[in-house]
Amino acid sequence: MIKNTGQSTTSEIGPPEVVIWAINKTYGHGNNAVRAVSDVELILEPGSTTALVGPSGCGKSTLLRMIAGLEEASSGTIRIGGEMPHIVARKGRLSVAFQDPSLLPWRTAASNVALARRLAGLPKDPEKVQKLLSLVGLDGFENKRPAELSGGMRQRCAIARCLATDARLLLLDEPFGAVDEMTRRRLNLELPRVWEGQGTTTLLVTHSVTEAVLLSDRVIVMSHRPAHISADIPILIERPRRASHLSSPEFVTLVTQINTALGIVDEPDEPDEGPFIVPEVR
Amino acid sequence: MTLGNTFLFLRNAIRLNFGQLRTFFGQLRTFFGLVALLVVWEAIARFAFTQFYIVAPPSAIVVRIIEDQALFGRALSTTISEALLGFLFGNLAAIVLAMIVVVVPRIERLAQAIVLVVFCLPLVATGPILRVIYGPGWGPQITLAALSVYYTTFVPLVVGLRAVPPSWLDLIASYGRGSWTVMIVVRVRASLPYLIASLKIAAPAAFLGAIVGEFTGADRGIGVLSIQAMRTLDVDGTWALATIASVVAIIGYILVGWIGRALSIGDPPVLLVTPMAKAPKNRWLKFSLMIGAPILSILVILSLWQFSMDRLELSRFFAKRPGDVWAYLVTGLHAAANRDELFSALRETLVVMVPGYLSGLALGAGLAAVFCMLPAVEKIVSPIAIALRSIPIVVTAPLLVMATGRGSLGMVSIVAVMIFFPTLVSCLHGLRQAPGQVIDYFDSFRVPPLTKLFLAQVPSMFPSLFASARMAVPMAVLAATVAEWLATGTGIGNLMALTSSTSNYNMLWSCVTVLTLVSVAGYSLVAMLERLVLSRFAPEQVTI
Amino acid sequence: MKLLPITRRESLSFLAGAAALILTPAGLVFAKTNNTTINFQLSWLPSVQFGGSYVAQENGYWNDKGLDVSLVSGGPNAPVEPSVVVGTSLLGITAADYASAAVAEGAPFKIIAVAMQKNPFTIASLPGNSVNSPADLVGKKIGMAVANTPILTAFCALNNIDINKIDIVPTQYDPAPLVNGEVDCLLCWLTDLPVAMTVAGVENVTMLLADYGYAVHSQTYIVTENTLKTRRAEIIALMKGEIQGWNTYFEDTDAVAELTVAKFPDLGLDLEIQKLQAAKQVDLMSSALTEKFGFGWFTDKTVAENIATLGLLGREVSADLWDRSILDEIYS
Repeated sequence: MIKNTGQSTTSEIGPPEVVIWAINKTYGHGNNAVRAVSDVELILEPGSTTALVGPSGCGKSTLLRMIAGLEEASSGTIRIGGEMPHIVARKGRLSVAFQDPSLLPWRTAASNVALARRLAGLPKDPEKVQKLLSLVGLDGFENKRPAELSGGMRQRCAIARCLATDARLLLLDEPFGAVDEMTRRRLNLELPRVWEGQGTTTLLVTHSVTEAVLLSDRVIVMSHRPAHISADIPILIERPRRASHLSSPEFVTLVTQINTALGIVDEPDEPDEGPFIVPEVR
Repeated sequence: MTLGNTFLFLRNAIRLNFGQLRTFFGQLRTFFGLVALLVVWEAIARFAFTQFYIVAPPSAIVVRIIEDQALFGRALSTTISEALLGFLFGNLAAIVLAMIVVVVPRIERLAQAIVLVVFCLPLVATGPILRVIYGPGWGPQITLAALSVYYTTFVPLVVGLRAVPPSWLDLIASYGRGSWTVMIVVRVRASLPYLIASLKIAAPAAFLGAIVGEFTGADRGIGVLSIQAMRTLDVDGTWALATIASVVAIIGYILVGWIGRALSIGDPPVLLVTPMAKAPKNRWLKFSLMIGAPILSILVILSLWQFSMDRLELSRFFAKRPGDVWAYLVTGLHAAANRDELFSALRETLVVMVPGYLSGLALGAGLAAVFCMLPAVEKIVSPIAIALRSIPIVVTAPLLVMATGRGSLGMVSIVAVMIFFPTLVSCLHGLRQAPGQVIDYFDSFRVPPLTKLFLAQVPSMFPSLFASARMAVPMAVLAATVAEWLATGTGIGNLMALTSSTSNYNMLWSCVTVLTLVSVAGYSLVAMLERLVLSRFAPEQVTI
Repeated sequence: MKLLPITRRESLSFLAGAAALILTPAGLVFAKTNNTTINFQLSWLPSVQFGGSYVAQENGYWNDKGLDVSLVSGGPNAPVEPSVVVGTSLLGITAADYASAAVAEGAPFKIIAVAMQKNPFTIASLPGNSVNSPADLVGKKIGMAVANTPILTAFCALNNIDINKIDIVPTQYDPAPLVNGEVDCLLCWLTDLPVAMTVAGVENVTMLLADYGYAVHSQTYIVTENTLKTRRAEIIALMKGEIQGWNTYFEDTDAVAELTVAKFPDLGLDLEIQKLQAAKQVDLMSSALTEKFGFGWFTDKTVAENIATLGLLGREVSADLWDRSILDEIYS
């Protein structure tokens, strides 16, 4: 009974709108000041999936951390469903997946996933934990500790953990970075169904242009540091997305368009060979 | 410039200055923390204990140091020279030994055992023995300084020399080069952070060793002066010397750290469990190794003992061989009485040492957890704790006895204080070591600090806690025996001092043997516990 | 990967080398090379306690006799006996009880002279609550090194006092417990803690154990049986200079205190303490016997008294431990 009421109250809330207004972020001061994010303005529609792409170290992750309430902006405002990020965080209504899987080494895979519910102040739900673990292909590994899992498995476990709460805002910071290519593609196609089913607003930071196009409704291209928005490209491919979309002319055009915005001109058939990884630009 | 831009400019200017102000206030807070401490100290000394010869006020200490600066300066230069030579020899030996162990892993178990045993030798007893061997001069001071540093350098260095990505090794191998090339090209550089971290601890330790060495009949030095001051009721002098010794030890610590930073060598990860060679699969082989390795180590150590004494032609009057100790404790005429005397003294020591050891650890770990929750307090306490960690126990033991009395409570607190500071510093470091972005993950839920502490930070502190618990075992023995010898006249520390003045060298060597065994056993027990706990809480540390 | 051409044997000898490096890093560098000097092992840190020897050295009494003597300091953790047994030092200073203990452990010692006729052990107390006679000890708290328990036991036996009626508190090298009221009295040396207390302005009362039957020669000169035969001439010359030094010492103790403080500038010795100690020490060193026969003298009677007290201390000794032949030859 408790479980049902819990779910019904959360679904009543619905995916939030995220408003990012005139955000600036500067580290250090005086002559050592480094400007990481410069005047970013962005509105994430409720229930949409937005991808952030840009050169390494451009400030994408900083932006995501500010939305998660982990860092404060030097100036500007962020509102999630009209509330401040740290208020939303305290209510357990946002969920973050980091580049590093950051699992607790002394807990099993299942217990790491279950921990998320505890931290968000939610009742236990072993069924959901089990369902998420099998979704990310960790059947039979529930009772293994992170040290006994491969790098990719740990990353998948972290993704499962991210989905374990009833968060309506998912902040994914390069979550498939350490996952092998085949699994990555499978997760790319399967995971959106999970969060689309739950009804979430999603922000995804990624290096892979293919992944960005495949997963999102909109791709934001960030410039080199200090990060600002250099292109905003809507992705109008119908959902659910399938593997066949990868080779459609529409898809290839979008990938080329984004790569151009990133300042890279490609051979047109390259995206077929896999996701294009933006090279390190310093 | 538009009005908006001007406004932005001004706002940023204020914000930037505010950032500078914040760091400035941080330093100011540490400074005022120290000043407040000094004021309280001065007040206590001036008003609370005036009729007692216990506490010297800071102002009197400063006056005394200025008055006697020439005397203290000469003593200091002697002790520092001895400590430097010991530092050099001890670390050199550790470096050479660590490199050999890494290149020839087959001798590792043996080398580790021998090195540990030498580390566990009680300084109170080795002092007089070394004095007899060396005669007058700097020999014992330098040797004791060397003995107090080599182990804390050796263990992390072995870890550091191994902390190399396997792909680098493959790269060197693909050019057809062997272990020595790997050593020179890769390992030496990779181990530098570990070396610097251990040298930081070694600097104060060498100073402490030199002072203990000076108790063995030196003509000059800080150790000689502190004995004089203590015996002549010179409270200001005792405190002045303790202050000087502490400051020098702290400067040594800071200096090495500064050199490390100048060479831009970062901090290494927490000191890991000494990684051991993988156990063989075959059950019989495993079993025989488990039994055989310690037996072999013991045999090698015993023959080294016998061989080195015979080789140096040391007189049997004081340089007892393993056989003499065996006869004295087991087969001899009065063996039972001798055993009784030895073990009752040992019991007396253990009764205060074990509670002191445990409460020092608990206090260190507990306060680290508390400070972790109160970052403002931590900012004040942390630098002070790092400083106090370097204070040589020998010069503070009399002060602690003065303050806490000569009963068992005083002894327990001496041991506890000796262990408390290193544990606190190590645990504070460990609390900041939560793996990867775990802390970020917890912060993304804004969970209460206590939940974060117990779910994430305390478990990730375990490797640090156990690392310091292991190293604290011989330290507790040193603290307890030195305090017994200098201040209370009880237990095995006193028995050792006593037997050397009544020429009962059989008993002295028996004490050395038994105390070393106790140290090694305690160390091994903690190491076993460590593997057990870490295999659950930090498996990556055990399997590397 | 190429295997390194290191055999097991080589690696073991490596290890042995490294171990030797740990155990004796400075042994070769700091070993004494000059064999012509004679080492004289003193029993404690430098102070006027050895004032006579410093006079002998400074005034060239030994140089005159063709000796180059090096005075080796002792300390709380530096035993005298092994240094004499091994031959590092030709002559050593120790107390009769320690010498007899060493003999029991197989050291071939002979006591050839006695500097302190009276044992310096004292019971020090404060005037308000003083210990003036052995009977006053009953019911008192006494601070002392546990190691010295046999001394108190022997003293109580000599004076028919039940030791169980005295409360022993372990203390060490330090007058603070008495001054702070932790104990009622201290077992210590007359020339040591009481002097420090007096100079620090703490009035105190002392009771010398030697005045109540506790006869143990202190600051005795020991040599081995072997050197007594083989290096007799050197020992005689050494003792002649030593006696000369002490005789000069008795003439002006203040001057010796000044000499001592100047000779050891790095020890931070307090001149006032040294002067008082130098003066007080004279009472312990001179007696009717030394007036008559000279510094260092002992007789069969004093030896017998010593053997009796040492027996109470649990030390079985024979009169053979004492050998007066050197003094006889010097004073004849």
